[in-house]
Amino acid sequence: MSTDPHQRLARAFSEARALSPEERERYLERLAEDEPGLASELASLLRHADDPEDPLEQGAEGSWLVAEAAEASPARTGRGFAPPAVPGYRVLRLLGEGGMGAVFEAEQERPRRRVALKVLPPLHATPTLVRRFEREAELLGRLQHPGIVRIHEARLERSSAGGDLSTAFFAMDLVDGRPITEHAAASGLSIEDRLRLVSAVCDAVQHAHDRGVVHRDLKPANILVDGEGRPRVLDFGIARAVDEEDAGEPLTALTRTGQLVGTLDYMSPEVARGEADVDGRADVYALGVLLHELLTGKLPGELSACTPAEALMRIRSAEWEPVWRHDASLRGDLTVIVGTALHPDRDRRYASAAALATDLRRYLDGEAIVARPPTVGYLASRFVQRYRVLVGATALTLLALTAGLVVAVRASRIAADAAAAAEERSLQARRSSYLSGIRAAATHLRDHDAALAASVLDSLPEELRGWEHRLLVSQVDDSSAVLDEPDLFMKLPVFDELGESAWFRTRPERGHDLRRWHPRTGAVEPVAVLGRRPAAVPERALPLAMTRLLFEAPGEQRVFVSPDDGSRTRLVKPCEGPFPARLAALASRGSLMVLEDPGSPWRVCDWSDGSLVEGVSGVDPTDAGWAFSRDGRRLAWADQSGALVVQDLAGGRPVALQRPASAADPVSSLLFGEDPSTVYTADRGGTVAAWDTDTGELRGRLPVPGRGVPHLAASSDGELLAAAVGGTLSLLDAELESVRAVGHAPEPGRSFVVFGPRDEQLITVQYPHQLRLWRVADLAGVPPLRPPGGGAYEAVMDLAVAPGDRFVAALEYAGAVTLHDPATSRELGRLESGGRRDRGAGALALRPDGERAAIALRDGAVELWDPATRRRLERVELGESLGARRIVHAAPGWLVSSDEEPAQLLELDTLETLWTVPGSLGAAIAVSADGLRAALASGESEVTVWDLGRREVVVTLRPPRPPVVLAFAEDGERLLVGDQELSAWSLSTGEELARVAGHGGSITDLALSPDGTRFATAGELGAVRVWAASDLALVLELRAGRRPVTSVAWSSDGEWLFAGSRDGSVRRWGARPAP
Amino acid sequence: MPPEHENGRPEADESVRGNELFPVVYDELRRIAQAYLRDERRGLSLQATDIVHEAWLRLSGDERAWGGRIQYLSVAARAMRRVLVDRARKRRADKRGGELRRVTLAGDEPGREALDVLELNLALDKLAEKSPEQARVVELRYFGGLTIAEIAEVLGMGKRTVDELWAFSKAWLRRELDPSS
Repeated sequence: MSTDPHQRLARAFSEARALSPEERERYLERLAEDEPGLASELASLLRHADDPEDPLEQGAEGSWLVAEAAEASPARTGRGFAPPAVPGYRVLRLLGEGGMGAVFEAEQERPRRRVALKVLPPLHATPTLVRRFEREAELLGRLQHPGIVRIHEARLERSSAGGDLSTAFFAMDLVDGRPITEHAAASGLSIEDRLRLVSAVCDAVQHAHDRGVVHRDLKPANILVDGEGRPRVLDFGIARAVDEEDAGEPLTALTRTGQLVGTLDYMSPEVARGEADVDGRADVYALGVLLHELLTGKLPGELSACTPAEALMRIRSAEWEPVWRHDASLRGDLTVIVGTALHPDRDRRYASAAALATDLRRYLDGEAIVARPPTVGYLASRFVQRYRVLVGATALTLLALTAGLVVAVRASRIAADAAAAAEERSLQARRSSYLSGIRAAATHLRDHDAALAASVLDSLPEELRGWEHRLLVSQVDDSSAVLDEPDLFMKLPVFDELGESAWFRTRPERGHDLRRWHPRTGAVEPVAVLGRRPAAVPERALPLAMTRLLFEAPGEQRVFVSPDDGSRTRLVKPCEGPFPARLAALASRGSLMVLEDPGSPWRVCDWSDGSLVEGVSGVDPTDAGWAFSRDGRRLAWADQSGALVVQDLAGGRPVALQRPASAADPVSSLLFGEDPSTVYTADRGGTVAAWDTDTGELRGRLPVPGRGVPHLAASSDGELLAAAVGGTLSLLDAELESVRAVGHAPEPGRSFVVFGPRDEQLITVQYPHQLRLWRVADLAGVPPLRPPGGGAYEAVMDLAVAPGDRFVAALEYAGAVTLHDPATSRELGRLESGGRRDRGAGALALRPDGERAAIALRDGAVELWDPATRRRLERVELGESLGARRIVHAAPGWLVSSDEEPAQLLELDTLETLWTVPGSLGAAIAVSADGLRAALASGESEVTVWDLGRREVVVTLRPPRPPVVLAFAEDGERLLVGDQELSAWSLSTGEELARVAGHGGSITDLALSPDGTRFATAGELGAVRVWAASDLALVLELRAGRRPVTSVAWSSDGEWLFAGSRDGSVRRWGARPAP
Repeated sequence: MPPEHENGRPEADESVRGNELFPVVYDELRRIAQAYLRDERRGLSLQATDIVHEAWLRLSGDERAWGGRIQYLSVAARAMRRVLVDRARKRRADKRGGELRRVTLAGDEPGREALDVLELNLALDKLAEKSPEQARVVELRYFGGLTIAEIAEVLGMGKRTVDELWAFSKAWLRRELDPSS
C-alpha cells in the first residue's frame, strides 16, 4: 500500500465511490477502525462528491452549453424515424431527411390537399422553446409571396413517445421542383437566364426581410425551381425575426460542442465570426455565393477540403478570387456584382436583396450598375453601349449630359440636408464625390483596369487629393520608363546585350527606320545599318537571340543576319521562290526562318545556304503567327480553325499535329517553353495554356488579369512567362500555377511584350505608340521592410519611425527591437532587451529626435536604449502587467500605461518615476502634439485628459466602452477613440462628435499622418484602413496579410505608411517608387 | 507571491510553458475574453470553454505549427487558467473595485454557486503539490473544456483513470473551497 496519504485517500475515494450508499457506510466504518484520520477525511470528501450542481462541472461544460447540447443531440441522431402520426394529416411517403428533420408527402384532411409535412426531431419543449416556436409560426404565416413556399400550419405536438418531448410539424406547399443549381445545369440556362432566376430569388428573400424574417440558411437545396421555371424558397426553419430580443446568436453558438449551424459554403463572414446581430445581409452574401455558383459552376472557396475550423477562418476573411478568374468572360460588371454581394464587410455589400436584384436587372438591361461607384467615364461607356447608333456626333453631348446628371443626383441628395450652409454643402458634396472616386479607382485597380483608374484619379479635384491619391496614382503605372513615340511601328523592339537600350522600328511611312531608345536618359537616336537605309527589325523571332539581329531590305530583296558570334552583319542568301517576301519568324538557333508572302504558301528557308525546307502548304495561321522552338527544330502555329499545329523541321516532314480539344477562343499568342515539348498559348478570352506537343494534352491553364488580347513572352531561363493584356503585365510561373506579380500601365491599348537580357527587364509595345520598360523586381510591388516569417516570438508588436526616416524600429514579441533602413530595406541592427521571452513585449517609443528608444515590457521592465550605438542606457522595474502595455514620449518624460497598473511618468534619462497618474488604468494612451497633454484610460470606461505640466485634469470623456487606442487630432480640439468602432470627442465639451464602424474586429493601433489630414488604423483581421481625420470618412483599405496587424506608423514626411503584423512582417505603402 | 501558473510537475510545465505556442494562445484567449467582458451589451455569461474553442477557430486556420486540436487544448487550458487568474488579480488590484470582487465563470444565475477563480487557483496549487496529475486533470477539464476522452489522450492514460482522478479532484477542491469545512 502506498505510503503517501494523499494517494491512499484517492484510492479509498475511488473504492468507496463505486459502492452503494449502504456499502459505503460500512466501508467507512471499517476504515475508521484502522485509520480514523483517513476515514474522516474520506467522509468529508464523499460529502463533496458527485454534486449535480458542482460549479466545477458547470465551469467546464457550462449551463448554457449543456442546455444547447441537449437540444441539439436528438437532431443529430434523428435519422430514420418512423412516419409520425399527425392529427389531421395522412402521411404518404418520405420525401427526404437531413439534419433539420424529415419531410413527408402527406394528405391534409381539411381542406383536402397534398402537402409537404416537415417533421423536426423531438425537442424538450421548455416554455422558452414553446414561446419561440409560436413566434416563429406567427412570423412564417406573414410570408406570402409566389417565390416563397407557403406554410399552412405550424404545430407543436406532445410526442407520442411520452416524457416531456414534443415534435414540431410544418405543413407547407408541396413543390415539384429541383434545386436551382441542378435546374440551371439540366436546362442549360444561359447566363442571362441564370441572372433572371437569381433576381427572382432576391425578390422572394426581400419579401421575407421586409417582414422581419432572415432566412439564414439559403442554399440551392432550399431554393427549388418548379416545372414552370419559377424559383421557390423554402425552409425558413431556422429563420428568426431580426427585431426580437434573442435574434442574435451569441458568438458561442458556432462552437457549441463542435456542431455548426447552417451550411458552411453559404455562411457569411459575420456569421462565421459569430457576430451577434446577424441581419438580412447574411442572406445577401448567400445569394452572392449562389450567383457565383450559377455563373462559374464553382463555389467561391474550396471549403470541402478544409477542416471546419479552416473553413471558418477562410470564410471570415472571404478573400475569394474574382469570378473572372474562373471565367474570363465574366470580367467587368458581373465580377463587380458578385464581388459586391460577397464583400466580407457587410457595410460594403449590397444593403439588401432588392439592391442586388436591381443591379442584376440593370446589367440585363445594359444600364449602369450601382455597385460600381459611378464615374463619368464609366457611365458614358454604358450609355455608348446602349445607344451605339447615336454614337458619333452626339457622343460629346451625351457625355456632357451624363456628367450633369451625376452632379445633379449628388447635389439633390446633399440638398436634402437642409440645415447645412450652402458652402458647407458643396464642400461636403465634393468630399463625398472625391471619396467615392478614390474607392472607385481602388476597385478599378483591383479589377486591373489601370486606364479607368487613372481617368477617375485624374478627374478628382486637386485641392482634395491626399496621400491615398498619390498612392493610387503610383499604382496606376508600375513601369519604370515610358517612351511616347508617334513614329513607333507596332513590332517588338530588341534589347541590346546589356539591357541598357533597345532598338525599335518606325512606321512604314517613316521608312521603317531603326532607332535606339535609352530608357535611363530618355534619349532616342537613329541607327544606321551597314550604312544603308531603309533597314528593319524583324517581328517575332528575336527575343531569344539578343545578339542575332536580322534586317530585311525589301527594296533590294535581300536579308541580312548578324550571326551568333557577334561579327559583322552579313548578307544571307535569299530562298528559292518569289521575292520580296515578308520575314515572319527566325529561329534563335540554327539558320531557319519563315518567309510569308501574300498569295503564296509560307516557306521555311535555311538562310545559310538559301535552300527551301519542305513545308506544308495551304496553312492559314492566325495573327498569333509562328513560333520556333528554342533549339530551332520545331515550328508551331495556330490555324484559323482553332487547331494548334506543331511541326518537326528536322527531317523536313510534319511529324506532330495536335488539335487541342478545348479551343473556344482564338489563339492570340504562342511560344515554345524551354523544352520543345511544351507550347504555351494565350487566347483572346484571357487564358494562358500549356500544351504537351508530344501527347497533345493540356498541361495547365491559368486566366490572366487585364482587359484585352494577351501576348506572351518567356524568360530565357524558362521559369517565367510574361503576359501583356492591354495595360496589364503579369508574370506567371512556367507551370501555370499562379500569377506571381502584376503591373499596371494607364494605357489600355493592345500590347506586346519581350524579356530583356538576364530576364531582369521587360519592354512592352503598346498600341498606338508607346514603349514601356518594366523591371521584373518592381512588378511584385513594394517589398516589405521586414518580410513575414519567424515564429510567434518574432511577431511585430509595435513600430516607431525615427525623424528623417533614419530607421524604422520594430518591436518583436520576445522583446527585441530590430532597426531597419527604409531607404535600402536593410536591417541596421538589433536591440536585445532583457525581457522575459514568454511574457511578451509591450510597446516601443522614440524620443522625437530619434536618439533614444524606450521599450516597455510586460514583465514590468522599462529599458532605455541608444539606437545609434545599440547600447542599453538604463533599466527599471515597474509592476508586472500581462495585458497590453504602451509607452509614449511626452514633454516631461516617458508615459507608461498598462491594463493592470496606473500609468506612470518616468524621467527621460534616469527612468525614475516622477508621478503616478491618479485614477488611470488601461493601456490606451495618447500625448498631444506639443507633448503637454495626455489622454489616459481610467478603469473600465473613462478617458481623462491631463495637463502634464500642472498635473490637472482638463476634461473627462465617457465613451460607452473602454478604449483600446487613443490619439489627439491635429487641431488639438478632438480626441480620437478606437475600440471596435472609431469615435471623435470634443476636448472642450467632452461630447462625442462622431462615431463610425471600425474594422471587422477590434482596432489595435491608430496613427495620425504628420500633416494631420489622415489617420491609419490597424485591425486584427489583417487590414489597415486610412481615414479622413476631419470627418472620420473611410478613405482606403489596404490588405496586410491574414494575421492581425498590431501597429501602424507614418514616415516623417507622411509619404509612407508602415504596418507591423503578427506574421512578423513590416509592410509599407507609399507613393514614391521603392528604392 | 509564488507565480500561480508555475505549479505542477516541472516536466509537464516544460512541455506547456516552453511551448512556442503558449504566448500566442495566451494572447488570443486574453483578447477574446476581454472583448467578451467589455462588451456588456452581449449580455453573455463568460464560458472559459467557449473562449478556448473560439481561439482555436481563429488560430487553427493559419498556424501550421499546431500538432492538432488536442495539442492546442492542452496548451490552451494552461493559458486560459492564466488569463482568468490574471484578470481576477487585476480586478482585485483595481482600486475602484475595493474589496475582492468575485470573477465568475458561469454567470450569475440565481441559485447557482459561482467559484472564485483566485481561491480555486490557490486550491489547485495546493492540490498540485500533492498530486500534479490530479491538478492537471482539473486544469484541462475546467479551464480547457476538454472531455474525459481528450484528457486521456493528452495525458496518455485510460479514460477510467481520468474519470477517477477528476471525481476525486472535484471533491477535494470542493472541500478545500467549502468555507464550512
